[in-house]
Amino acid sequence: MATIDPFDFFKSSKRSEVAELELELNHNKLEKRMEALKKVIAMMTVGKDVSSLFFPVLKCVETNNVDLKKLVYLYIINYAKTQPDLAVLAVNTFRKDARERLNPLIRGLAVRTMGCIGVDTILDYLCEPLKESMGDEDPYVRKTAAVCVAKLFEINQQRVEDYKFIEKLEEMLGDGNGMVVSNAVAALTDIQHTKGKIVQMTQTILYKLLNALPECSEWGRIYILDFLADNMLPSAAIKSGGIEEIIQRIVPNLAHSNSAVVLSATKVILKYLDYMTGDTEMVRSVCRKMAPPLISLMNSEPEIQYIAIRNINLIIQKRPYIIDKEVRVFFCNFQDPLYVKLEKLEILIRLADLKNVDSLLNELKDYAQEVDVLFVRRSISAIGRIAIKLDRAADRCIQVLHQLINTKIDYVVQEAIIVIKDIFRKYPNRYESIIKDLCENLKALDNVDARASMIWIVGEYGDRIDNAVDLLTNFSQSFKDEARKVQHALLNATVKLFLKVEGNGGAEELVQDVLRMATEESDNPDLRNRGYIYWKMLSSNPEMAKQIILCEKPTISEDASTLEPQILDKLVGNISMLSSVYYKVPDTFVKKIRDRINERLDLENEEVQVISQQSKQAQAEYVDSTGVKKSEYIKESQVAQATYMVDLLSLDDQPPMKQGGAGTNAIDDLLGIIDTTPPVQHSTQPVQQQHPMQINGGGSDLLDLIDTTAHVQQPSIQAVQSSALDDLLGGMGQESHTETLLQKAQFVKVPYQVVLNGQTAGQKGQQGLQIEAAFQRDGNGALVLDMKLTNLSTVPISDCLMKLNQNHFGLALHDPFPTPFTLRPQESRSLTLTCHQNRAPGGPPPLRPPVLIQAGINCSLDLFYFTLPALLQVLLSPTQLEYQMCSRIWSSFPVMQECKMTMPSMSAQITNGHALITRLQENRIYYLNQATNEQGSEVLYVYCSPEEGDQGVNQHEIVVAEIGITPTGGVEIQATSQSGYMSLLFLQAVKFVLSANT
Amino acid sequence: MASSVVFVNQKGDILIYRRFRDDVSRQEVTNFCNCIVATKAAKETPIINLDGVSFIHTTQNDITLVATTKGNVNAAMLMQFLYALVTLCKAYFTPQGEFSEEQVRKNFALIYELLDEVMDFGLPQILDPDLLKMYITQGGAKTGAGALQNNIEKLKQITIQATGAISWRAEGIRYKRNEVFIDIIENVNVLLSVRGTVLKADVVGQVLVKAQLSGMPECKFGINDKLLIKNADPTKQDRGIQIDDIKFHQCVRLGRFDRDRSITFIPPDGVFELMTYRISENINLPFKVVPVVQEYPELNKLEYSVKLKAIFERTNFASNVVCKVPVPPNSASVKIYSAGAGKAKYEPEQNAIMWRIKKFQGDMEFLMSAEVVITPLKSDKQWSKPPISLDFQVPMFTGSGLRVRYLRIQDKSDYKPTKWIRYITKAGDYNHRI
Repeated sequence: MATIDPFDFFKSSKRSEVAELELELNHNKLEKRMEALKKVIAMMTVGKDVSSLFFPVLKCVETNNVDLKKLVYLYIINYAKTQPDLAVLAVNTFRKDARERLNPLIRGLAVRTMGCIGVDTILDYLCEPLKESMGDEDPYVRKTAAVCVAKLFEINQQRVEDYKFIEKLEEMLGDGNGMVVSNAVAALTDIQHTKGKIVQMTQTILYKLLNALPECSEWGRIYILDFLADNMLPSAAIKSGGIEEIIQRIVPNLAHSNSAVVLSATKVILKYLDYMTGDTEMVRSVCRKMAPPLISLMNSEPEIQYIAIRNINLIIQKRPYIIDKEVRVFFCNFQDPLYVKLEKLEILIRLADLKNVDSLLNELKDYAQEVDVLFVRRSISAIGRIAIKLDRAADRCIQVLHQLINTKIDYVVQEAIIVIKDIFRKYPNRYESIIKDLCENLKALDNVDARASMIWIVGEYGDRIDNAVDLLTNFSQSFKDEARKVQHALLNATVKLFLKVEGNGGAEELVQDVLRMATEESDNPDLRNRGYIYWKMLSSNPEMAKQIILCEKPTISEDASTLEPQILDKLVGNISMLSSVYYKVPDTFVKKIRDRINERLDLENEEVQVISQQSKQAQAEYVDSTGVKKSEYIKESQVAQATYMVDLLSLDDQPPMKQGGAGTNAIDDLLGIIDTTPPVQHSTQPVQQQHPMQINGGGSDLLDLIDTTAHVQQPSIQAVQSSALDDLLGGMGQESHTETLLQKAQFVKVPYQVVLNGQTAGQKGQQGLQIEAAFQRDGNGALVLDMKLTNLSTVPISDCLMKLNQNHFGLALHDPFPTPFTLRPQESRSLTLTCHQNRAPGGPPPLRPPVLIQAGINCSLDLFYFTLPALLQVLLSPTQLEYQMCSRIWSSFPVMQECKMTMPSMSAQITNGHALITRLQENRIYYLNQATNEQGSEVLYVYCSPEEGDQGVNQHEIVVAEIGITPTGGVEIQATSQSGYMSLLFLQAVKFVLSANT
Repeated sequence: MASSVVFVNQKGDILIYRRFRDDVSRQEVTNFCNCIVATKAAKETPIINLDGVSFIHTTQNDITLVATTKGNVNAAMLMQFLYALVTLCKAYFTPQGEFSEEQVRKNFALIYELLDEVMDFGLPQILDPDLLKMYITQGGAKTGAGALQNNIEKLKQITIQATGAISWRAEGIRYKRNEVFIDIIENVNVLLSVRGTVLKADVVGQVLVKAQLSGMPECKFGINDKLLIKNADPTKQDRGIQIDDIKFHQCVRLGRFDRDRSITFIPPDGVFELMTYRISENINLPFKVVPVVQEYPELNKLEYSVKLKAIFERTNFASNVVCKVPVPPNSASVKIYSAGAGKAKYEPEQNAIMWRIKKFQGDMEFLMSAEVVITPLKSDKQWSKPPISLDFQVPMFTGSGLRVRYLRIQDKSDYKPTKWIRYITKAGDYNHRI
């Protein structure tokens, strides 16, 4: 075997081959070992198991040949996860190589590989060399070590904290070498993805990074720019003229040849521009600088163009005048890939104005005659959208559509019909003349949307189309085989036609026929119900029916693809990232971020919400979307509330029975007795509710199904919009919260947490109920459970019953679940339930924070179990103890359970010791005294005890804590209690109370 | 950021699979290969999300390169990384510049070694081919790592260069003859409507420099940039050209350019792209096309007459002019009546009449006319009517009017280098709709 054909590496591997390779790996000659190792790697690549060769491969590592070493390392990385025991054997080599004196490349290689192994058992051997490498004299080793910290963090966060590696990374931001700085930034960014904010941006760090920026490679620039966009210097910390300076330092990056650098720089500039409120001339001049680089991206590779166009679409929503004269740049080239063409169309629509509309329409007309069907249809749809967007250009758009219809190409005509329907909606009674041409092209209708649209048009203008009845009769003959959308349209259209032509020329027979088919022969409940409603309306009061059915429709507008401002801002902050390509905020598609948000211990950055306000908001929305007059609804609900109070009273007589159930079965028992709570039926369900589609539409013309959806939206945008709603609610909650606080000092609000995920299946396997909840103290100091329920299923949820399991703190619901309670699909409602504490029976104490309380909810959908977390401060007693008693109790502690915690910073609202005490007292953690501790520093002593129940204060659960304020504005807390869990709970609660901003 | 980088052939087989993070499994990658690459759906969009995994991909020849992730990563960066990776592979492969499945299979060990160096934990690191060639020698260069290991000074120099501000140039370069060659290459992109109005036109230019200079030369490059001239001397007659946008090689000091629009740099050794620029105002189009296409559907016939006119000075010549006139795919016979110069020929595999003129003198015009008979089709499937496209090269001509004013080179050793400058304008997307 003198020479080896490289292709042989990939060829067959018989059983004996492994044995042969083992021999070769032990060969004396370096070349032979090298060849053998290459074969091993090749087999690994195609997915074959060569782990049995671990030992012989490992032996090869004892070499000075870097190439060979690299191959061995590659092998080890691949198998370390599955064979951790073997990986440990390689540790010594790494340690040795990491301390290699002469060759920095080998040191770097060792540090890089060590981090990739990711086996917990070898971490002990890894941290010391890593620490040394971070201070290595060679920048290559340092830049590799910086990334290694991020790797270590992924495997074991504790070690990173023990060795203070994060602090070291922050020190590295001042390194003289650009690549070391940028890799440290990249590592910090990565850690922040998991852990949340760790770096507090300051003027010093900002300028360090800005100085490093020109020294960096293209990739380094991207890391730094992305980091700057994610970690904005608070506007308050910038001196006057500072924003301009920051922007000026970023601007040169717009001339970089790497398009990712351009996009990231654009992002940072846009974010800092938000700080400039007054100076519009300055803002405009910066924006003018951004336009040419963005347009140049249109000359890059198609994949980059795609990303760039998706981003530009966001940028011009944010700052419309950046690219307002450059519409021609986005004209489609013949050889552009389809995905680029479709994105360009979106931009063209957005840039359309009265000045450019003529050239734009010519262009779109050309596109509409190309061969790619999807592109043609989107182009025609674009013409329609421009017509709806620009009133004064609508005539010209219609002209173009007219010409297109006359081509008689079937998909062109069909798409034209769909957009013309929308144009009719926007401009009623303006362009009926085109109907004649449409009717002539009827035969070719094989697209569902086109059929439905055509039927809508005939129904709407039935009194002006001579043979409208014949046309609809034609359609009705295939009624049973039509898609639902068409069936609905046909039902609506025949009814409208009947009312319009007053039963002339066979309209009556037609409507009867269609109603019969809809109600008797259809198996679709929506259609059937709608049929019955029409039938009843027509037969009982035709005049009234006319008023309702033929009422004026709300106007539509071309904003289907326009984003909510909050969402837009979030997406602009993510320019160049996947988020901006998907048009989804990161937490909707990144599991890691969702996990972090769900992680309840880290509450620092959470938004704080006021629930009572929010529930009002939700109610208002509910009323609006069903279209019932508010006053009526409120009256009704008050009546319902009254009856409900009566029921409540009768139930209240039996609380002991509720708690009588023993052990964990208690929930089942309670939820089993649904019958004892008579469900109060809401008597005035508005008629519209019978059609679920109506909830989405929100139009007042309840009978026109297709009317309500103005345009075909891209699904991704819809997703964003629905999440926009959540954000909006969150935002409102926050605003109103500040208001309430002005009135009265308050308990710190605990933010909602998702306690039951919509994807979690219940006991019967149903899913779709999502619950967010938090225990709170309300303004009067009462313990309440705030909840937000969301129905993500497709059926309404009603008849809810809820119960908490027995728990250590004796928490139980005081109020039963309100009835009537119906949650329609996609609806969210907030509730506040009063709780009480009865410590009598007790469950096991929690092992670690937070206090988790098992709960169950039984509803029409299913029976769900979940756990509710509670923070200690809501469980505390308002009773203040006397100083003597307290110190007596404390000195009597037989076993001290001490826990310590250091918080590097507190909420900015706590400026001094006094504010600290006030904040704690407000949350029932009381001040005891001030003293000098053993180390000689001034400390505060505070105490608290949980709600006592019948037996009075439980001395075992009193927590006494020593709090010292550190020079950096943080606190050191040492909590003592006879019960270890109380100390832990206390620390968690204090951390939350002190870091929350009210 | 990237969880893994994968090379896949068009059948969906994994050729190279390098994992950088554990969150994306090989199973998920295989799924993408089978569902997207193998079914040719990869052309539909360059970023695909399958079950929570994002696949950022590009296809070069018969290889699809994929970066996978579960996070909210910088998509443009990873896309650029993939392009840079292809460039890097091309620089290493022999013969240079070839990128194919065969080459990837032949060089797999090298690719793994490169991947280890160019990306760490999914973060792009060093992708400069010249630099990497200094210490990654697997397969290719014969100098071997052995020699390098003993040369501590050399090693230090490499690492500092790799991480430092001037990563593109090594110390101690010496040339007997110091020379520098500058090529200004312009691509004219034009889109003309059926009626001959200019829909869009721009020039994308490239300044290629081949530097054979000793030491650490400090260079200053000057062009007839309107803003620069105005800055320097507001009274001067020469108005200069207006550049929409410039992008520079990383060696150019961006801060300096932003301040006073001067282009200063220390060049890499050898050939590099100093800058690219885009100009959209006052463009000199070198050719004018006047097409007339008459359709006679009832006769199943089309008549073409295409006029080509050179609009540059008579003393200058364009070379290799190719005018591609598309005809319907169902053309039965094509009869070419006349071609004023060069040769016109119907090429069925191109569905077009290719009219080639080797040398086209300035200020001349030629006419080509032809008749096409088509076989009628049963379905009324439309002819897509691709635009007439033009290809050409015009030396000593710039569509933008750009001129090099000076290139000043200063080095400690104070040598006087020889400077060569060439201009050439080529057709980019030069399309005229019919």
